[in-house]
Amino acid sequence: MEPNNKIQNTNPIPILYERKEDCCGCTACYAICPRQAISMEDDLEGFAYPHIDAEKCIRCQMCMKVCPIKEAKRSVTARQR
Amino acid sequence: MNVYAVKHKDERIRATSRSGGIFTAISDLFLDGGVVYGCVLDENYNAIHVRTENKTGRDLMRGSKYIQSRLGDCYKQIKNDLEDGRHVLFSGTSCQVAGFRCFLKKDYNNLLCIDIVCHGVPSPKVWKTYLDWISKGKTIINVDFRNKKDFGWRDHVETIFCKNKKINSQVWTYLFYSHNILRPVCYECPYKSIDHPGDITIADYWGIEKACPRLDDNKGVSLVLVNTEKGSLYFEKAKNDIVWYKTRIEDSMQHPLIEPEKVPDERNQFWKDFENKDFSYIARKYGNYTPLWRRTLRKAKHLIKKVLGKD
Repeated sequence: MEPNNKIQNTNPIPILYERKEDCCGCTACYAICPRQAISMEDDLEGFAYPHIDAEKCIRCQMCMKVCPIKEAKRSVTARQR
Repeated sequence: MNVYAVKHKDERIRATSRSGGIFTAISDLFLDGGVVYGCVLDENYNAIHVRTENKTGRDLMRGSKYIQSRLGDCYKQIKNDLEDGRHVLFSGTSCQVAGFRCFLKKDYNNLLCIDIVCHGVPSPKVWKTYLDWISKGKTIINVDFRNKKDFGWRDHVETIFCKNKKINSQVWTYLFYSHNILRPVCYECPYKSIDHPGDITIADYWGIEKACPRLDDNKGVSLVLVNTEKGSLYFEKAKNDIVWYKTRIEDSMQHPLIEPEKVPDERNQFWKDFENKDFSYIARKYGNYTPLWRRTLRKAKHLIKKVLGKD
């Protein structure tokens, strides 16, 4: 299923991580992006983090769903409930 | 989950493995028509993930590299191999394996994942700076993160092979264990427990003297956690090449199986220093490094004292 540009563009650009502690640099988001809108770029410490090109991004949110760290934190929260 | 202490039957393989040689035994099963993905050092000594179908390529993947590796386009490439029906072994850190499983969304019968018990991944940038500093501009021809030929398994001495020179050092070991150079996520790593995303999890068998003393000769033993049925299938196949003993997880609880490392109090200071000072300063302050002139002075003082004492 091809994501529809017009509808999806009303969604916000995904925020892949708010803190550096929330990104392991595994490249899952980079690899899953259907528009190659994500690149892995080094920070000052020399670790690679994903960067979204807003022009290319179609806001399909696939990158948000594929993140293993987000998944691990979700399952911890679920377990705590 | 089943826990094993393992060493390879071939002592030559064991001698050149980081621990007991379990990765070699399992990846051997994929060299007959399968594909192996793992971490190697490239020509500039950066850690990267690559694909191989042969022994030469696989041998470069042996031995953990104490730096975060770059995966490049491996995830997509592996998926293509899986769709083509190839038997694939993917090896990496727990987060790399977990990320890959999330990317695939489903399990493939023809995929085996091995993850390593990891303390956390050090910065590739600090690694390059260290290499430039220690090699003093000489051409590096090889790097051994843990030289078991000249030292023991537990000694943890790294050797940088330059043209006509062999440099033994523990500066990287000390920097690594200071935990200042780990990726921020590592201090909150969700995989620091006995639950791992790999079908098989491998590590140095720290605590072997208690868990299985008969294997302990300071030449390296692998800790192997077999987590899934698929993992067990492959472990059975690898048994021809290994000496193995079933052990208890209670006797095998190294720190990364319990909790992540804590953020060191001095981490911010380390990175400030790394930005502003030369690497000698970093090596002395955080890498337990003593410069040659100081070592010589110390020896001279000792000698003078000895001579005067005799007088």
